[in-house]
Amino acid sequence: MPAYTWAFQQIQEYFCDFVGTRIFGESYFHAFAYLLCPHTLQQRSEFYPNMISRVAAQIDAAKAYGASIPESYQSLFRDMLEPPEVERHRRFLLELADGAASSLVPDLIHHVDSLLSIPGIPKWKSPSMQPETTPTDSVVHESDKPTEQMNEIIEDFKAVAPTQNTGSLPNILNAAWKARHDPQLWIQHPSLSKNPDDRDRMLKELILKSIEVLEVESRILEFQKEKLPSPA
Amino acid sequence: MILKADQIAHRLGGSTAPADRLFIRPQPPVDELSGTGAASVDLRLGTWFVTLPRNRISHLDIIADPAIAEDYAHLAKEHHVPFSKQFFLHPKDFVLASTLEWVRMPTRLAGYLVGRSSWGRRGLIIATAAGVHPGFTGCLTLELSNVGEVTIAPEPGLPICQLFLHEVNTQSELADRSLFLGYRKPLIGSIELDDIAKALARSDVA
Repeated sequence: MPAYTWAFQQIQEYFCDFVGTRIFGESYFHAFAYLLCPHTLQQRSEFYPNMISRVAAQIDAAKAYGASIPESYQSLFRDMLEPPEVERHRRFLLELADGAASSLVPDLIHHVDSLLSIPGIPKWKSPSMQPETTPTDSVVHESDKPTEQMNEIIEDFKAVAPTQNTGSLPNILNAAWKARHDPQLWIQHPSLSKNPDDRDRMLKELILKSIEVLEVESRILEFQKEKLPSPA
Repeated sequence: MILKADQIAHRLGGSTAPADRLFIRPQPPVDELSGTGAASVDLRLGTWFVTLPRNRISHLDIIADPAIAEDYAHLAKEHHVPFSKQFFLHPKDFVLASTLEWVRMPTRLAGYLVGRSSWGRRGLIIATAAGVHPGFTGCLTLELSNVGEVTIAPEPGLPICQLFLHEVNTQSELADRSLFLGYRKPLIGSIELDDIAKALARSDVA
């Protein structure tokens, strides 16, 4: 039974990664590397897939969903320690769990895609990463030119202003991560580029305000739809 | 020269050179703004408020105790009021609020913010740090006070004040002020005494 329980828990982790990737695209990977992934040099938990398998599955999912992957993403991770040799029984059960969980990854990737296509969550269409599989019921991301849209958002951030007309939260988050990793972002504003804390604080304010602007735009759009006369 | 609404609308447009571009986010509808014939742009109440509760400090004497203003500021409480919810401002209450709009001023424009008289006539006074300097970026802090006899319950999104803009008659680039600015929430700020204030201070504490 432990192997079943561990496999079940690991599948939940894979599932969450795929949902995050499907909704937030590349920004999910940045968030995963920055905050979400289990940072430990100690022995791995049985409830989580080990890191190399987990990251490989994330990359498979990104390819399937058309999301781009940060450069050298895989190199940020390494496997945590397996149980010691003397715990042969536990090692065997964990291998079973790992094997069972990873064998479900392709189905799970497709299942998440189908699940999130029902409410119409748009699919990514990265210029560098075209989807390998295109389920018939999937929806392509609203922007045909995501790179241009990202650049527009980053241009607003460069002007130290929140952005607008982004269409979705993932667009803001993806541009925000790109802005965070751009050393030239505020080259025109020495007081901001000198101190990393000030830079991060300002970027955080701009991102949160941009999200609020998105909420305002969504509410106005909903209101305008409600005002339209319904067809007879 | 004060900018007319159509000139403000033009400054908001993407065709303006980046250095001269005015950002107001969320941006008011440019077409509507151009057609108003006004000489200002309306700004709305934001979602963040700061209250300064009653406390054990009897009075603020920053000459005798320069740290007291900071101590008082630390007592401030932040409140987030989501859209479609109200903030109740009882008679004699005082609260800091911020504009919903984030304003990024180009280096050749300055402005000042005034409350809408329609609110003032109902007891809601919007005093504010009137001057908006060239290069400012952030939401503007408003000081709201209910001097009427009836509780007022404003909601985020209500037009509450107006921003007048005028050109700055200088060709020189202004200092980079970004470090000190760029907040979504109301700011209390610090009170600093210059040498003149210290020289003029009461002799027993100077």
